[in-house]
Parts: sequence; C-alpha cells; structure tokens
Amino acid sequence: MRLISDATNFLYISLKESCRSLSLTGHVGFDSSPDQLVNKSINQGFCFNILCIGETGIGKSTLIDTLFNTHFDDRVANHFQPNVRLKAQTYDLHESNVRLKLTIVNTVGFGDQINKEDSYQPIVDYIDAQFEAYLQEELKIKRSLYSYHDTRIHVCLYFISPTGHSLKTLDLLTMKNLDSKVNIIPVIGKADTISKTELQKFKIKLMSELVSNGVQIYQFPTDDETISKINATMNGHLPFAVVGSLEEVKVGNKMVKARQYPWGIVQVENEHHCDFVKLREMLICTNMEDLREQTHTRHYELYRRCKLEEMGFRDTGPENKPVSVQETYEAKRHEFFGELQRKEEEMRQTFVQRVKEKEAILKEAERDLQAKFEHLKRLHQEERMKLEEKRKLLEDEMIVFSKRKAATELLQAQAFASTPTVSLKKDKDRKK
Amino acid sequence: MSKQQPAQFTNPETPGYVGFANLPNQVHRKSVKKGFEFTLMVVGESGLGKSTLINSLFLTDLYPERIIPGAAEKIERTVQIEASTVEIEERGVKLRLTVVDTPGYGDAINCRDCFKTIIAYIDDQFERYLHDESGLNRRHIIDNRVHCCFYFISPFGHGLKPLDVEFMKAIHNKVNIVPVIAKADTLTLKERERLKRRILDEIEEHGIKIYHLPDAESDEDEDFKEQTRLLKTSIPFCVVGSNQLIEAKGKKVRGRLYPWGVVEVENPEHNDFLKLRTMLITHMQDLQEVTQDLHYENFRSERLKRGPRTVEDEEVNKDQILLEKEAELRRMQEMIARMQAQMQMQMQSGEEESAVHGHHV
Repeated sequence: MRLISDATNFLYISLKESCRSLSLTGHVGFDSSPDQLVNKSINQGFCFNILCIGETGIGKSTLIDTLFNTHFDDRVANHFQPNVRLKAQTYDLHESNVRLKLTIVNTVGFGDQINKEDSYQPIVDYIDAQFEAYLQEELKIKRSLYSYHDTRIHVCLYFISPTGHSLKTLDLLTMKNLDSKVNIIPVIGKADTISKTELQKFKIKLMSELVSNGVQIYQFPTDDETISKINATMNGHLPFAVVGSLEEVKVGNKMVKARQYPWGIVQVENEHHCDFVKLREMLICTNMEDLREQTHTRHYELYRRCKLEEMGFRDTGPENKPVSVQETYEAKRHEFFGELQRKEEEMRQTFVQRVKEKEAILKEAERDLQAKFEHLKRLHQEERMKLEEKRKLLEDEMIVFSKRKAATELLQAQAFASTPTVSLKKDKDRKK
Repeated sequence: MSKQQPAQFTNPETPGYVGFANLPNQVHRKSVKKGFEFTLMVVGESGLGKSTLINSLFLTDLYPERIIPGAAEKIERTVQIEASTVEIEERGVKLRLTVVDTPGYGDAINCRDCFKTIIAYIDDQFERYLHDESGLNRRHIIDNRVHCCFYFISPFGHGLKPLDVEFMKAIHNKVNIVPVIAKADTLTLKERERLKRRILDEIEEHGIKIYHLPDAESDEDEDFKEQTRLLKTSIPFCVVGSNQLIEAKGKKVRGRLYPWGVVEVENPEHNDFLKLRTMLITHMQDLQEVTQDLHYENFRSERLKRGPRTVEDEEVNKDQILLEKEAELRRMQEMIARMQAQMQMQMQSGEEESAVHGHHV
C-alpha cells in the first residue's frame, strides 16, 4: 500500500515541476511531425472564405478574378437594388498538389440605396449565421467536424472608394460593426485614379480615421521571425491601393495583366503602379493560415462565448468555483426539472381545489332541490287532504239528499192515495 | 444714325446705305461695358472632383482654404449652399461668375432630404427675380438665377444611382442640367463609351430632361456645325481636372502625373475637358436664354397661378369691405339721427321742465 502511494506521490511531484530539457545524442526522427501535419492537411484540402464588401462597380469581382487568375462570374449588377444582399459561390481550385475550396461572398447593392442606415445589417447577419452553423455542429452529439465544410468568413476585403478625401460615412459605420466579427483588410479599389502624392496623403488620412474611430483592422502577424519583417513593412502599406484586370496587354516583349489608357498602361503586377502584388502576397502566400486561425480562435470564440452566455452558461459557479459545461448543464436540467415539478404540483392543487368547489356547489344544488321536493310533496298532501274532506262533505250531502228524497216520495205517495186526480195534476205539475 | 466708322460693314459710299448694320457693334460695346453674369451650380457627392474641375475650367482657385470633414462628421451632415462670386476679366470682357457649391450632398447615411435645400435655393433665386421684375424700380435687377447645373456622376459605378435619378428628376424643370463624369482617368476608352451609353439610356428611361445643345443654324459655317455635332455626341462629358503644370513631351501642360504616364487635361484624346469648356463658353448665352425663356417662365406661371388668388382675394375682399363700410356708415348715420332726435326731445323736455322750473323759480 505504501509503495503505491509513494509512486503516485512521485508522479505528482514530477508533473508539478517544470520539464527538464534534454539534448539528443542521435537523430530520433520526430522532426518530421510538421511534414506529417502538412501531408495530412494537403490530403484533406484547404478551405478559405473571402467576403468582399464595397459599392457596386468598385471592382470587387475583377480583383478576385485577378487574384486567383480565374474568371469567376460574369454578371454585372445594376444600381437599383432595393436592399443589400449577399451572394456566395464556392469553387474548387487546384495549384500544384494543393486543393483549395474557395468561397467568395459578394455584397450586391451595397451603397446604392438613398437610406443606408441598415445597409450593414445583412452582412452582420450573414457572418453570425456562419458562426452559428459551426457552433451547432460543434454542440452536436454525433458530430463530424473533420469533414464539416467550414463556411465561416476568414477575411473581409473592404473596398474603399478612391475619392482621395476620406472614408465615407457608410464605410465607417459598416467597419465599426464588423471589426469584432471578422478580419478586415481595407483596400482602395480602382486606385489608378490617384496619383502617388495624393495616394500617400489619402492612406494616412484613412488610417488615422480608422484609428481615431476605434476600428480594429487585421494586422499581419509579427510574432514569427521568418515573416515578421515583411509583415511589419506590409502593415505600413495598408490600405492596399489595388487595380484589377484580366485583360492582357503587350508591354516590352511579354503579355502582362494591365489596363490600357491613351496616356499609358497600368500594369497590375508592377509594384510601382499599384499594391496588387503586396495584397496577393499577404493574403494568399503568407498569411492565409493565420487568417483562418484568427477567425477560429478570436472571432469565433467571441461569438461562441456571447452566445453561450446568452443561454445562461457560466464558467464559474455561484461560489466562484470552476464549473464545467456538463455541471452547468446538469444544474440547468435540475433547475428546469424542479421548475417542472413545482408547476405540476401547482396545477394539481388548483385542480383539487376546483373539484372541491364544484362538489360543494353541486351539493348545495342538491339540497335545494331536495327541499323543494319536500315542499311540493307537503303541498300535495295538503291538497289531497282538503280534497278528501270535500269529498266526505259531498258524500254526506248526497246521503242527506237521498234521505230527503225518499221522505218526500213517501209523503207524495200518501197524498196521492187520498186525492187521486188532483194529486196527479200536482204530480204532473211537480214533474214539470 | 451712327457717325462711327463701321469696321467691316457696308461702305458709306454705297447707295441706300442706312447704317444699322452697325448695330451688332453697338451691342458688343454695350455688353462689354455692362459685363456678363453667370451662375453655375455644381452638385455631386464628395470626392468626385467638382472643385478641381471648377478651378481648371476658370483657371483660378475658388477654394483656397478648404477643410474637408472626416467620415464621422459627415454622418448627420446636412446639405449647405455656398455661393462664391468672382469677377474674371479677359480682353476687356468682364464676367461675374457665381459658383454655387453644395457641400454635404450625398454624405449623410440617409440622403432622403438631401436635395430639399438645393431646390429651395433655386426657387428662392427665381422668387427674388420675380419680385424684382414686378417691382417699381427695375433699374438694378441682379440676376442670381442658376443658369446651369453641373451634375457629377461617379465614374466608379456602372451608371446612374437612385439618388442621381431622384435629384435630376426633381430639378430638371427648374434648371439646365449638364451631366458630367469627372475623374475620367479611371476609365479606359471602351469603358468610357459603355458608361456614357448606359447613362444616356438610363436618362431616357427615367424621363430626365437634360440640357440639349441647340442645333447649329443652317447659315453657320461647316466648322461650327461639325463642332456642335461633336459636342452633342459627347454628352455626358468625361473630364479630368487639374491645375498642376507637368512637363510632358518637352512642354509644360496641365495634367496629372502617374507612374505610367501623364494625363493631359487639354488633350482631346485623353478626355472631354476642352469640349466641356467650349460648350460652356459658346453656349453660355444660350444657357441663360433657356433659363429665362423656359425655366423662369415655367416658374413664373406656376407662381402666378398660385399667386393671383391672393391678389384677387384682396380685391374681392375690398368690395366686401366697401359694402360693409357703407352699411356701417348708414347704421352710424341712423344712430346719430336717433341720438339727435333723442337729444332734441330731451332738450325740449328739459326746456319745458326748466320752463316749469323757471316758472316755479
């Protein structure tokens, strides 16, 4: 017995102490773990969801087409949509041996209405709906998160109109409502209308406006030494001034993606002309995984916490002791069950009460009826007696009458015997 | 008749010479002396290039100390009217130009009441002119009526927006609308054509009446006719504005410098700026005439249709008042007569009494 307790004590001690680092004397081989992870995720395929928000005609679809070098969707929206809608499309892309399931969500009719107070609401609702779907899957009893198609938005490209002045009121309002739900990367669309000096001033103005209004945009991570330097530089170039085009123009001796004007050719992939290459680098090559991670660990967790707190779950119980979800669930169940019992009891009591009352009333009624019945019977009896009396009287009178009749008839017979004719007449008269 | 030497008109030696061929000269001289007035209104969302274009058109700086508000201040912003008047002179001809700017248009989150201020301003100018015109002293009528409105359409969209349509429909019967697409250096030539066609289609679809250039007279020369035809086909104008001088192809031009080239403001292949300027200058008089003959007359007849009812009411009231007054007069007269009669009776009775008293006394 003592040996076993000693052993367990030893285990406890060693766990509490910090781990010692040992040096290896030979090659073990666990340095291939990242590769295994990579292989696994390649086999699984990647999933990325982009949300593009911007006015109609600002260049959202063209930019996405240019970013992924594919022609996705052709239809051009008009400006007369009555309200803001979101349009989502999923594509399967392939590069080297990597499969990407790309979902692009576009806003339709954003910024066109005269009253734009509710323009941001459909977007917020959409993002929340994706979080909700994931939460539901997570809370299921039989769940399959491995093969679940994650539709949560990983990045939001917000297209700013190249006015050269400042943000629009709609931009400010929308970004403030989205910055805690999604990673926002602001970009300046159709940037080939702003000259270099104007662009500098514009970018500074935009960033200062975002900061002064407390809008949190996505910052490229600087904690990983391999990419921190480039990410830090890129953070200074936000918002990216982009130009999109799928048309190819001959420049020098090769065909490049560009826009041709009478005064020159704007090359999309020329870093001196616009920030397209920077955006592509940051968004796809370097930080795609970080965007996904941020979405899951920051935005989704915030949503989940708010949602569960709404439902009444807490992390700490009433005595500030940590309480697990299971316990909370049990407690809640108990509570509800108790509530149920109480209600049932109440109902039963009311039922019994009612029954008693009804009974009392019915008895009362019965008594009344009984009394009435008695009363009537008495009356009836009395009547009967009265009638009996009357009958007796009548009979007596009849006897008297018949006696008198007999007496008079006797008298008459005697009288007739003495005076025959006169008495006959008298009889006749009498008979008449 | 005029004793002046006629410049290029008929020889005084020709038989039958009267000399009224000199009238155009006189008109010219008088108008130069009087100077011209023109009021231009610019309407459009912030950041579409209105101020830059106005500065480029009139080669001045109309907005020296401009503070552009940030997004937070614009949320509840109402539309203001800012009229700035400048006098510019060119070769002795004075132009009194008033530019009416409308900052705040389209800025607020809810633009429902965006253009009420603007329409009120236009009506107010008409009202004032009407008042001055119907006044007794008509010597110094200042014409502040809006002769032309440049409506700026965004080049970043696919056509007209609902706000554009509603605004234009609200003012197309009050002022000459000239639709303009500024910051046209964001559009390739193909995109430009597509956008122009789209906008013209939408204007027709919604029944918006924009200003139409009058056709050239048949006795004008071919160049002018060609120019007018070209102008007519280029509406709405796609312009680029700038007052910066950039070195390009060895000479200094007004333009915008980009890493990929220089957009020249006055190059007809780059944008329609010259066309817009030509249209404005050659048709300034026509714009004023249309404002006077069409929009002002519309306003005036509407106003007077509403208006005379008050004048007629007054007249009717006057008759009534006269009748009433006469009736009152009569009543008063009767009352006076009655009172006089009473007084006389009193006096008589008083006299009798006093006579009685007197007798007593």
